[in-house]
Amino acid sequence: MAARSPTRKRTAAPVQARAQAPAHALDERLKAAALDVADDGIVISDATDPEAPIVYVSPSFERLVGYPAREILGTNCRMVQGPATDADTVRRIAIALQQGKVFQGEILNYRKDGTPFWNFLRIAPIRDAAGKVTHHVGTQTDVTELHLARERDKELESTLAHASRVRTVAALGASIAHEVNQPLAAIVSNAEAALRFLDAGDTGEVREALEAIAGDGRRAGGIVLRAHRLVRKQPVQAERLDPAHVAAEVLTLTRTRLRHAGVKPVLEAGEKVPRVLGDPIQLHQAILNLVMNAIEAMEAQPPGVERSLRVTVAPEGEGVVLRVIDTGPGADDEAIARMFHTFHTTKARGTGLGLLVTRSLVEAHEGRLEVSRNPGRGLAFTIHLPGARPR
Amino acid sequence: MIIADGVALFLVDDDPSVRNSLTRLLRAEGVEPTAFATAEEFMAFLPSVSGPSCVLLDIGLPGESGLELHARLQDLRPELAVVFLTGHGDVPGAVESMKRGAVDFLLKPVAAATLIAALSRAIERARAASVEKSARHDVALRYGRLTPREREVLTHVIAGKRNKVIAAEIGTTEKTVKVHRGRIMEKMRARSVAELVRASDRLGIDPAPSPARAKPP
Repeated sequence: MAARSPTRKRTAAPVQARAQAPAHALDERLKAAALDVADDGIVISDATDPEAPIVYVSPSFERLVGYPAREILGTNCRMVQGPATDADTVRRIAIALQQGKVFQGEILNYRKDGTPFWNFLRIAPIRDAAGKVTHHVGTQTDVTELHLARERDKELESTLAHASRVRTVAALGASIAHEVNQPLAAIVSNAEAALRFLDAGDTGEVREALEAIAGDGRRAGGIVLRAHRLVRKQPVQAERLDPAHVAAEVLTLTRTRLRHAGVKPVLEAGEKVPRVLGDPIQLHQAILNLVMNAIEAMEAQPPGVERSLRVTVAPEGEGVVLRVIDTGPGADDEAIARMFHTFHTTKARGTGLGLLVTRSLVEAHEGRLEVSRNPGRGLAFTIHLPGARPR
Repeated sequence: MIIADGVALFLVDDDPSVRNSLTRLLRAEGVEPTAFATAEEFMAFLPSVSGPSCVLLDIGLPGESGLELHARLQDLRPELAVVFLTGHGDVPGAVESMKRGAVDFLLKPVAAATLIAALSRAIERARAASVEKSARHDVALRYGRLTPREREVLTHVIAGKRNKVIAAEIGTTEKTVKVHRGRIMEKMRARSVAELVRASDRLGIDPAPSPARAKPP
């Protein structure tokens, strides 16, 4: 069975109106025939009885659940529930029906033979002339295929996100090693200097060397901590973040990479940039991907072409707009349109995932990612993020 | 203890911690380097650098890299002795820089003993290069005082030819050649033909070939 769009019937006329339609509008036999041939499984239950016995099932419902009508009529809908049916969804259905509202949602149901299926379920009340709910009509669609496809997509997305993170971390590895090596080199030189001054009895110099060693030790520790935060797998955390600070950290971590590519980075952050609510690692990654893309784009250019990277952070209403602007070769309309397609890459070793991951990270923060051509050279990637509510 | 006497030491590294720590270590060793954060800063200072000098140069400088700066120094001031410092195992960079005449290539973090040994070699090289440079300068001044005819005769003399042979080749008398030879030795302050050959070599002057071998092959 092909998966049908569960949104197809969302705009159907209220059942109440149909029930109250004049008898001459549609003959009873035609209505019954329509219910019988409907593709979705249709169930009508008696709302006046606390046990809500089923008074009608369509043939398609019999096919869907595998029970013949005679086994279902008089019982209630609990029979299609099973061990993995979400109790919370069942409760939400009960509440909606109690309040005389329409319920719409997905629930895991079971056929007679015990096989589970995902059911896109809509239940609406039917009222009498006095407005009292007399019946409930349930429409059911098997969306198992759709559900599984969605699960697979989610799984793939998380695998892709991880792959992208691994790639980013690998690219950062060299940079981080270099960043740590600088304070280490200074520590070694200072320690050797201190030993010599100690022999010479120059305690002033020894003190200065030791202070410098302590400072560089802390600096190395800070770099390791930052790197660690990037690679550690941990649940998404929502913190109040200064986006300018996140951008600055990304530029610090990519310092060596930028330098080797001959790219001059500039960070322009406004003074009163609102804080955003987000996961620090994910935001790092989103910006990092854009920065790495920009570096790679500019690196591919012949020498002599300007290579500058501008990262700007500015307030935008209650929120923040963050731009990563390069002087790379840019892209035409077609290339821009293709940019967000899975596995589309212009790089020899690219995976085509960076931008997709960035976009999904930005969207997970209720933000938007846009791309545009610069008036001069290159591209500008823009992240719009909503601001965190002031505490 | 590093004995630098008369050799100036320079340090170019953009990381202030590295710069200060190396400066402190060298100070403990009895020498005081002049430190710069970028290639550009050092280049601005270069015109005031005279005499034998050593440069301790970080490869990964922002802007103009250490390798680029080295290439420029090789053209402008080939007598400067350069020791590279790098944070990465940049092997191709190391090979290239050694080919281009760097004295040493040190990996950060560098042990004091390694640094001191490398700097001592560089100081030695700088001193030798400086002596060579001034010797070449002197020889060039002396050569400038020769007449065109004397310069021509010089190429024959350093080829080891007798006056009679030279006279025949340039179309003059043996006696005239003898006078030229005397003037050349005096102006070049050469006490022997061997010294004249060494001086000519410093200036890159080739001896004149014999007519028989002068024919193109």
